[in-house]
Amino acid sequence: MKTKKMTTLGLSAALALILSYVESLLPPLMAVPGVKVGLPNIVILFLLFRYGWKEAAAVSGVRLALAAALFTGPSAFFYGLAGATLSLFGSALLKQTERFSPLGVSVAGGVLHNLGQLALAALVLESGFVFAYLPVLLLFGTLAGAVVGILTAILVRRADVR
Amino acid sequence: MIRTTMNEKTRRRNDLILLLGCLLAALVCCGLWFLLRREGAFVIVEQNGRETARYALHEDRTVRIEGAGGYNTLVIQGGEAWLSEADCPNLLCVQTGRIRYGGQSIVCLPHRLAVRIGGGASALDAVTGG
Repeated sequence: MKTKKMTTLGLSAALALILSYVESLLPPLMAVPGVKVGLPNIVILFLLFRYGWKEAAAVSGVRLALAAALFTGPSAFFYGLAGATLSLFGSALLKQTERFSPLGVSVAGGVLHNLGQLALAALVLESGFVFAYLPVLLLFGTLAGAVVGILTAILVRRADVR
Repeated sequence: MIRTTMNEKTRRRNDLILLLGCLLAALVCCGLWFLLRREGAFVIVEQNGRETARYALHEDRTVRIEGAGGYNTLVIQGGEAWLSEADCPNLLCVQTGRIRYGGQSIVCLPHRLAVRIGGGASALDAVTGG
């Protein structure tokens, strides 16, 4: 691994971590726990487009672990991991087809992120009642994905990082 | 650096289809929820993930729920349940409003408290196996 790339990935992890901290300070958008924009995903998605899924996954994992250790706690780590894994898997696949811009990739990622978390919640709570949240989570996953996607598209276009 | 793509337009169209598809799926799910929801029969109080109390939804009452972090006041009235008061920092639980259908819940994360509606012949429960 080149030093430049290593440095960039390290800085990305730090940036993603700071973004998740900033987001934890913002007032929740809605009275539904877990509904947020997912600012750190801008960094992750940017890495997916600039490098590849491995780099994005590594930084995402580091970010989740550090955020859990510093402020979000262990349960947020596992829910985040469930969401991030499914989200990144889907995003990477979609990006591979080369038929979508960051916006489309991000929307799919946002929706899958929520589905992953919801699936884990359903497993943990051994109950389907969490699926009452499905409509609202689908809606907000789409919107959050669109916001992240638009911002990432701007970054991918302008930031000359490699 | 910037990869100019011939099919930029196609991509934008695909993006839009995906976006609208997701919104449509959300809408369909919303519709299903409204069609399948059933009024619940009881209110389940969970603290730290364990059920600590259960009240009939159709008996009016006001309960003060004491927890590790503080208190929440649960009001059950006219087949609806809501948290009217709490000393948690963000009061999201109070803002959540009133619930009456099977599967709906109010969560107060700071107090590790969940109030949810159970029972009734909920078609949604049949669908989700809850």
